[in-house]
Amino acid sequence: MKISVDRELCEGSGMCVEIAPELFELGEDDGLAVVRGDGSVPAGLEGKAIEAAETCPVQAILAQH
Amino acid sequence: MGNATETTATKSQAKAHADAPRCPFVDGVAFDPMEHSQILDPHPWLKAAREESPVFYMDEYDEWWVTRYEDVLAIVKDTKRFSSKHVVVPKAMPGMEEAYPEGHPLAGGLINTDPPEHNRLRKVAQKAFTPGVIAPHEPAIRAYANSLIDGFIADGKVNFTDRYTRLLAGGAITIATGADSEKGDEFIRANDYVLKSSVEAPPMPPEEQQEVIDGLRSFFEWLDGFIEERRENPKDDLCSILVHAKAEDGSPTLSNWEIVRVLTNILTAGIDTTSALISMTMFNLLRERERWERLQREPELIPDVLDEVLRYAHPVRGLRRDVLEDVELGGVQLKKGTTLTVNYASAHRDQEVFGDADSFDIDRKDISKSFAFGKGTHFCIGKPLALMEARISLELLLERIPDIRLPEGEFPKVVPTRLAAFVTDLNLEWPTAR
Repeated sequence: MKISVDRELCEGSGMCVEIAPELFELGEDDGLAVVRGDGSVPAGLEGKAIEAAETCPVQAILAQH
Repeated sequence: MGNATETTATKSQAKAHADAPRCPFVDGVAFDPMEHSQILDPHPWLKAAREESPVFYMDEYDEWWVTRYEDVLAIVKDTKRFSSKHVVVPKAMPGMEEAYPEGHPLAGGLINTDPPEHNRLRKVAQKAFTPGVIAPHEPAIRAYANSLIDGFIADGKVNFTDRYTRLLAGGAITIATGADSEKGDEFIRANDYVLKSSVEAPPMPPEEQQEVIDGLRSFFEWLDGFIEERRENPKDDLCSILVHAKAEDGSPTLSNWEIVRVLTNILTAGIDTTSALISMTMFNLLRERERWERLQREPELIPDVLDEVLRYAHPVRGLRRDVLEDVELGGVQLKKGTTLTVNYASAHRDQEVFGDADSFDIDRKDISKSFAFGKGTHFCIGKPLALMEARISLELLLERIPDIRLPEGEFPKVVPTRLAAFVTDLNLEWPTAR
């Protein structure tokens, strides 16, 4: 599974970091979400990736196989 | 007694801030954010402040106002140095402690907390408020909006705020929560009681204080019963999602009282704000009729209209923050413990950011810089619901009352509070067949 954040849509609510700190962090400079690493979701974290995508208030996260 | 103490405190504060910048006068008139015409249009003063004293001290309230876009945005994103604990402050009233043994409902909740506590609540509440959860409520909200219009369409005139926008905003939250739409009146009354019990509200006589406390207590008792009902019989609604949220170990995430707080937050954050958005949208479209006519030809511009109304008319004017460590802001040194008001309305008229900032322009190219629903951890949870209500309203009025107009000389009337432009009355009229 791969994840990505549309930073044009992101409002920095930080919900994804709250749900899956292993996968997301907030950018130091702008406070908007960024994906950790290359966006590949390690085995066992797919559920959290989907939960983060579903919970995002502005639907800025894409999680797909 | 209370007043004497406050006066002394204010005097000593003023002395301590003797050299602080103040809001400039405009044409010899002092800034007074509680004066009706200035609530409707504070912008001449805020513009002067952005140019001359972008962070200024307000003696009457012992707080600093922050007016420039860049400073406001930096503060709302920085929860480490600027706390939200006192965004909404309850008024001290006799009998309150007995009425709310677990603390005042205004004191916790989503608006008045900082991370990590805020995020714990927000994570649960957010799941109940994604666009995907809100969208299925659209048919019920649209039907309710239509029924409100049915109630006045034959009259040829209406107090639009009183008979439509507040009822719709209350009804939409009631529907999303999962209660019957007839409960909408009680949700609106509870909202009014909560607003009356905040420190910004004018003083109340003792009988009215008692009415507010009793009214809220009985609403919370009903809500507690409703929460229990949803615990037994979950449905696809906000209340059920909050009740059945589970932590990783399977235990319930929120207590009943936390759910009461979250729902109280949501209803007070979503009624007068959304109502004002819809009223201000109609006012700004109809005051220059070609705007309304253009929207009739190009209804696909509805989202652009709403974005621009939010920037230009900004129903939420400012929000409070507490300074957690000494900082320099706009050339002013602010000590830990200082109270700030970040002025969203001013930030969204900042000519450094928005071209021709005082013009209402639905074609503007810089609208993506608007953060009318906030930014960061407190980004408005209700945005999808608010925008849905406003869109439905425009779609229905364009179709059902295309000849709607603003009566000659009509201006909205607003609630006297310095942190919002909440509309109480806006009269509209249209020709009828009779």
